[in-house]
Amino acid sequence: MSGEKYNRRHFVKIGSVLFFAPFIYNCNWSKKNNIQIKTVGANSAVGHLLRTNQFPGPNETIKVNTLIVGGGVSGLSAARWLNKQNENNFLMLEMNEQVGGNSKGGKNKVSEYPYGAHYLPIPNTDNIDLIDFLEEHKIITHYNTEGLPHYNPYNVCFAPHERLHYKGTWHDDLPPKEGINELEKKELNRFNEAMQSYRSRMGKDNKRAFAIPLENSSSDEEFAALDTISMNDYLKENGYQSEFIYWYLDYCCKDDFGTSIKNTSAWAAIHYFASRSGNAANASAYELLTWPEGNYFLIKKLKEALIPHIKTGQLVYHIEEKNNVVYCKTYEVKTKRSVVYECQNLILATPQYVNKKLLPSTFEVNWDEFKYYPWLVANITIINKQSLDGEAVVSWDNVIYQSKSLGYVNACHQTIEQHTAKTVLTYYYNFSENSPKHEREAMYKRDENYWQSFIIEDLKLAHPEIEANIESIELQQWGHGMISPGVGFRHSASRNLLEKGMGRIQFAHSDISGISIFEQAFYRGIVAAKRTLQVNT
Amino acid sequence: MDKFKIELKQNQYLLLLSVFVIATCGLIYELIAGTLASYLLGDSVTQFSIIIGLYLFSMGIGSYLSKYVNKNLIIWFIQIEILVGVVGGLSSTILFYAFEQANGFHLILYLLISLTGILVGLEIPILMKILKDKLDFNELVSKVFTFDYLGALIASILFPLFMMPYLGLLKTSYLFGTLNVLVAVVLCFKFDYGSFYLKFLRIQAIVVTLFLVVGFVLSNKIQSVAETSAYTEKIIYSRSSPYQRIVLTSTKGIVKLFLNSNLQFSSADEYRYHEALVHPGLSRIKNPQNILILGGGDGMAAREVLKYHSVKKITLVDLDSTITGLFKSSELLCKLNTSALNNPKLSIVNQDAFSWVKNTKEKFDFIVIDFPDPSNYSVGKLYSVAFYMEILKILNPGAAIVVQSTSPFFARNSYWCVNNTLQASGFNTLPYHVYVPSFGDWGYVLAFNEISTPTIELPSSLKFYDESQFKEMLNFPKDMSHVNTEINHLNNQILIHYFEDEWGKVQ
Repeated sequence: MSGEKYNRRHFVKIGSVLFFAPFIYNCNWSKKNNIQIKTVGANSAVGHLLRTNQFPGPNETIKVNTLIVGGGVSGLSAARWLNKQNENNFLMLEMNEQVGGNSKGGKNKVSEYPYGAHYLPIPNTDNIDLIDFLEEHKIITHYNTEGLPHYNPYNVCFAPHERLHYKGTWHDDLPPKEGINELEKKELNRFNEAMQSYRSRMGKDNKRAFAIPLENSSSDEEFAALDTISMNDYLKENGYQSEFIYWYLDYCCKDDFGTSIKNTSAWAAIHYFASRSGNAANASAYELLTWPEGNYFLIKKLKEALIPHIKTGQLVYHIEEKNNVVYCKTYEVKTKRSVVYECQNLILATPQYVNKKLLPSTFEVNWDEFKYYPWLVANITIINKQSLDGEAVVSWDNVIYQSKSLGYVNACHQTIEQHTAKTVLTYYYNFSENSPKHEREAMYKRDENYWQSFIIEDLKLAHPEIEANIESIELQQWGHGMISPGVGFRHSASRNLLEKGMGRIQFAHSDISGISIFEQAFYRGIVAAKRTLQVNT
Repeated sequence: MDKFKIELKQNQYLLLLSVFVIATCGLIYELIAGTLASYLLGDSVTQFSIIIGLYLFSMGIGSYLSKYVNKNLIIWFIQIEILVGVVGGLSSTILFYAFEQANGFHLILYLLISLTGILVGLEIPILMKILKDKLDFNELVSKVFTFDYLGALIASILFPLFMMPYLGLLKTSYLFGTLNVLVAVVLCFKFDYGSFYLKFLRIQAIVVTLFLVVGFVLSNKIQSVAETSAYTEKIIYSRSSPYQRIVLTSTKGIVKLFLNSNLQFSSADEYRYHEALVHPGLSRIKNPQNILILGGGDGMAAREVLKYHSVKKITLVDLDSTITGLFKSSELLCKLNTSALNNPKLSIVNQDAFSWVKNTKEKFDFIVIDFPDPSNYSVGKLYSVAFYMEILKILNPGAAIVVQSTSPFFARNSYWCVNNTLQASGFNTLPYHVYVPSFGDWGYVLAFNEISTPTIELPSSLKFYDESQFKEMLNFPKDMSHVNTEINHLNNQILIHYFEDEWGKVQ
């Protein structure tokens, strides 16, 4: 009563294929032109007004106790914290029409999907603030008798989790257990053991070697030394040889930090593997929480209680602190007029490449230390999901070895429906071969047709016939993607300066931590909010 | 006409060569039909014998008909050539397709053979008529038949040794169809005598050639869709719904249903399966009124449920409206399920079971869960803790569910994984099994949301099940007794791994 492999062939109506074969063949050709492609989130357009710096003079002053600039995860987290402490006199200004920052999302008739971040790893149980937030929104449904959180089973990534297209076929898991040679297996095991050991190590300061938030990590020299070399150097120094493990870690660095293995601090890369010790009643540390719209789901949850405080389409273009009052000149995109916000406290939840244009030049920060490589995210609507199965079926994350992309996530993976023909794939590409500026310019030079063929050619490595299977493509270009933790990022003077805050201004964006993960942004938002409340009292 | 005659004289060897090609192609078509018929219908001796006989007989008809063709011989010859190419080239594709449609496969097969035979039968006599003034009778007969039989020899050697192993049926028929039409192309360009009809033939020949070449190129695709399993029984219905391939067979009055070529029931012993599915649970529910059946679109479980007079309402949720429609309307099938699907107490919902269960506000006294075996990630979700937790929410107090749980003999871990998963979801389980000849030893898990000591009320008129049977069904011999397994969650889908391991060995 089994025989699934056989079934898959039967879903296509044979009759039509047979008698209209020549016509279908023609259709396949013309399909090329039928793929609907559009670019969304041209948020750079508003942001780029900052370059010209020509705004109408403000004609209104609005007073508020606390002003939050930037509606990404860190800004929303700061706002949530203020709200929870019954501090109601605050406003949040967001440049775009949609809040969410790097965690925005969109939808079409088939599914919701993310424009950026797609998941949250099972949090460490000591990350109490985050655990509370997840409980508030029933992502944690209850605690078991051992006190471990039980996650909503529909939010924990379903099986199968990952697959890799390697040497011509799909293999389960990433890294795969089958299909790699003995040396590759041995080195992967050795690497895992090394990470396992870092996971349990404690520093002389009695702090975990690698913690989340990373500010809680030990400052022991032994671990700090890892920040002075790249991940590539780490592998070399430890005698790793197989091409596969270098590829795998390069993939991980690009996926998590947007930089290649050669430009990523070994400390940051190891942090990714060694910091997670999440424990749950119904999931292990290596598992993750995901939704069709990715982390935009969490954004929506954060936003729910904050709607009266949020103003979108507000571009802050100048910030000045005088006599313990902060003045924020803001341009309103819709009305094309400017307003001054006068506040006691300012939480800047904007990335540093934006802050550098807002703050007076007297700030002694070397803004160039903050590097953001560009990203392309494409949401591709697929007509027949099943045809993308191979030796391993479509998984949540699908990575192609020969491709320079980061592969694709199946946005509809968490469906409970038995038969869903269509699906949306979220395809990620990180441009980090050259300098960020160079890559950015190159990316913006290309048009939609270029990206369409670019993506299709890339996916053809694993799916030769994918072109006819694509209904539409929605592109999101990130000129500045996530912050990239280069060698020495932990000891950057500028970062430490921003971390402390300046007078009435607190910095909340995760880029001052150096890595762009939800947990980090969530934490920085709370830190900024707490300091603001301290100043008030 | 003089010009034409000169051309004809120059081209007699071309015509003889076409005899060779025609003979090769003709025999190839015959072999293809024979192979396909024995491949799809079985019994190769009968199939080949009938097909050879019919083919030769049809050639005879063609030869007879040739006496009516006396004018424009070359035009006729080319036209027939093109027709043979089309019919022969498409023959295997048409036959595959016809088989999928089940009804009338034999008729189509024999019609196709006859048509090919008649056309091929026409060719040689017409050709002989064309050449009769150019060669003396001796020469004519000797040359034409030499090439004819030579072609046959080549075909019969090529077919088994090269065509079948390297090209397969579809490619072979497209290839020889193309060759056939190419002869027509060459001929209609060689003989240029300005007839309007010849110009038409040229266009026709080129279009058909291109068509067949595309067919040849695409035949891998066609083959993969057309691959049909060989059913040994006579197929009385076969259709592809958006979800699955449905095949009904009937042999000596025994009806079998296959979904995606997996046997769902045989009318010979389905009563054992369905009585064992419904009665152990339902007879233990006090005054059952509202019943839910998930899967079971064939209406057999509903038939058993309807034997309880207290039942007021049955909701049957089955995704595939093709199945429920079929078992609602076919006279033969309504006899099997005693028209259960037309019963006024029963309502059919053609929706996805998981989301339906998750969204329904109704509560039930008894739920029959009769899903396909957990052979893939999609179905596996319907055996998960998350699903059973949703099921718990829609049960009345003192209710029960029964889950078809694959075979504890063939798939011991899988079976006990279902049982253990139900327990982990909060059910009290009562696992049991029964022997169904068509399936082997088959397992079910009965699960209660409360601990109770039920009174048992069985309907009369059961063919197989009674309480003494049930005592035996509860007993698991050593080779299929309880084993500890992991629990099936959405994020591990461990059950489908057990299932694949265990059934993989059986098949």
